[in-house]
Amino acid sequence: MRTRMKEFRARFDLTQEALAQLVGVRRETILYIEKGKYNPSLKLAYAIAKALQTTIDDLFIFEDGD
Amino acid sequence: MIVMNAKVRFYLLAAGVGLVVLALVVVGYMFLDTDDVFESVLSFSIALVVAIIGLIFLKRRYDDLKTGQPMVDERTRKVEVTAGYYSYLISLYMWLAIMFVNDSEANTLIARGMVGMALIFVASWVVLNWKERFGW
Repeated sequence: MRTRMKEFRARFDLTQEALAQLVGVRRETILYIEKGKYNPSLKLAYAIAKALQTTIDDLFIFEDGD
Repeated sequence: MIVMNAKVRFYLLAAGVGLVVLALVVVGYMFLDTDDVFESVLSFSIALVVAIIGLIFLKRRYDDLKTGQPMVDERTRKVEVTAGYYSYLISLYMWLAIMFVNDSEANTLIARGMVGMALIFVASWVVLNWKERFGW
């Protein structure tokens, strides 16, 4: 799974730490999601999408084999 | 699910680490009374290692508390649960191995088993965290 979180964070000038605080998780969790090393729960994915003012579909890209 | 205040969780963690270190020191002194020097030194050494690792761990958690980062989130909970699962499976084999050791008292074997289980959990937790960090 790939994610466009970094791109959307840059639009709002948000650091990983700031986004983590907004959605109530640790900074490492945001880091691992951006690196594709952790798949967030639906609840967290929704919270991140809401914080970045976009949709889950726009934010997370599932590839064949995921 | 009980939602715990971050400060309360930190103090409980600190108390837990303190209790483990205290228990190991007491066990060390008990072995000294029975002139079992090796077991005594082993207990004190493990107490020292646990104290050092515990302090490093608590310092990081304290820094998290000060910066307002949650100590636990869905990812850390998932790592803990998965580590618990793997350590339970591995521990079964450890207890099986301990059953074949008949050269010590039951209490000593149980104590070794408990320490073994704790070490297996810590190892599982470290491996799972590094797996994410280094992409194994």
